[in-house]
Amino acid sequence: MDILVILDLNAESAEDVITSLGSLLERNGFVKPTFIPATLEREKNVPTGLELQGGINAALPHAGVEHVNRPALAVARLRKEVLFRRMDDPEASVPVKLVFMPAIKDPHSYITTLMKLVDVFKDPETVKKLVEARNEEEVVEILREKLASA
Amino acid sequence: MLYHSDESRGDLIVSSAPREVKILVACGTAIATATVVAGKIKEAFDKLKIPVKIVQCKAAEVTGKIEVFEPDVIVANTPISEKAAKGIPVINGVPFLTGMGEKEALKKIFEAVGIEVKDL
Repeated sequence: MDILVILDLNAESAEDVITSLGSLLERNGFVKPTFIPATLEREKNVPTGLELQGGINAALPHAGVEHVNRPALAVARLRKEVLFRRMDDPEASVPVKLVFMPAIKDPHSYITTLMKLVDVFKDPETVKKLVEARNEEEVVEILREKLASA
Repeated sequence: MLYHSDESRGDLIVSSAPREVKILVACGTAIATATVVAGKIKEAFDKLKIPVKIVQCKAAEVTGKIEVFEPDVIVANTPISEKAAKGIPVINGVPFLTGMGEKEALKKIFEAVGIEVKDL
């Protein structure tokens, strides 16, 4: 699976972040032009802000398989934290540092990948490494390792 | 069906459950996050050797699924109204995605189905 990374993304809002990450996926052919509007719409109805252990928060904006050409994972580390509404309480928000945008083609074969992404969220050590990574290659390496492990 | 388990998972001990626990997992879209939460719950229950049956649905489908499936508990990633849940306990499933409060969430599930839980 391809992993695309943006480090130190400047964004003022969750919509900004979604558009930037979505554009990265779109111009590389992974998703259709409907992906960004679908993701923005989905985030409005079912927000993805997650409060992790350890003080760094994440978000998981994504859209359905009908908007995807080829599977990929786009990741952004934000220069400064941006508020995303909480998945478990849409009236509240969390300041997010790391945003993961999976482009899922086939939900059933992709569940294992998502489970591993959750393993990343649940591991404060890995989250810290992602926050401190010095370049895109490091982020890709950290994620590949976590996503590949049995 | 009667079984007995004294397995401990870290610092939780659960005692015998009389039958299979039925959990309805609800999410905004029923694909990604509901499936992952369902998987993580299954992992936790398997480790404790407690039989569980999990059905997933979208938040909007909860009331309909309750009639067909008769779950003991609903685990949801998104708020579900008491009315939609028809009085069945609704527990936040996001801790299974983040680790934050996961132990407490498991305890709430066990307590909702009458499985005794103890901290070590």
